[in-house]
Amino acid sequence: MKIRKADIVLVLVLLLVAAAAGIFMLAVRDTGGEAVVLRDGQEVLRLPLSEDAEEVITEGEDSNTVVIRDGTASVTQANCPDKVCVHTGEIRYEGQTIVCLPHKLVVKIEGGEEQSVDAVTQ
Amino acid sequence: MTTKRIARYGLLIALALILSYLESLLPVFVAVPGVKMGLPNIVIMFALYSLGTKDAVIISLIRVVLAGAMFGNVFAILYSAAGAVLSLLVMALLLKTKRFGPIGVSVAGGVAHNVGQIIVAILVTETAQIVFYLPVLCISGIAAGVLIGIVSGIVIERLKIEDKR
Ligand SMILES: [Zn+2]
Repeated sequence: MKIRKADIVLVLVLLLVAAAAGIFMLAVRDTGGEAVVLRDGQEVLRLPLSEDAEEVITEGEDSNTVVIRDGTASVTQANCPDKVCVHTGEIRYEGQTIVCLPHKLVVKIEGGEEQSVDAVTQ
Repeated sequence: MTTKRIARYGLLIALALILSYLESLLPVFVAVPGVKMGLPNIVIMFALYSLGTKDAVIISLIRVVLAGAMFGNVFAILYSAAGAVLSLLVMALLLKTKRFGPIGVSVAGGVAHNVGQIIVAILVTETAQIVFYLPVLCISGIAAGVLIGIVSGIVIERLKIEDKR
């Protein structure tokens, strides 16, 4: 079976492009956004969206479980009466918030994670 | 359509299905569902070289639908159809240029296969972040493409069918 010069060039070019894209995406991803947890407007926790995490935020009897997964933040469990925070679902865009009024808790996205993703896809 | 042609179709589709089945037994090594190494591509490569683009497309699409029905689900069909169509398009184009050997054609097909599946995954899940899997999938697609190109190249050489190229 013949291996042509064009075959070798093609494989090398594709490998190079994939590696470059991978490095670029990693670099972009590291500068990505963070989820900031605020209680009564005071920052209590800051979680990078690039790392999966699960944090239970408690204050007296109040409890909210904030989960970071696949670049999104969500409140998966809470003992508040309305469960609005849980039903909000996943957020990932800068400026998006999850609000738990009964617990006076806000999860807010800061930083440019989604912008960097757009830059890659466009 | 001659009897010989029908027999050939049946044989190649059966072979592609066996390879699809073998592949469905292998553990999925990436987090994106439906992304596979592309063992059936050996049969598609053979069809492309020995029979022609049209026959390769027909065999590939029948393979995708049957394999999806037997070893997967509707999403599996969607994923692999997107991969298969894009991959065949690229392979046929590269073959037409007459500058590439089986390895180049197969590698380009393998990468196109994964790109097609990623596009479907992004559209279906509406999650742009999936694009981050692309570099890893491209590199694994290149590796699989080289292997499949070598195997296909040997098979194509040993089993020359006379009536077409
Ligand atoms: Zn709540």
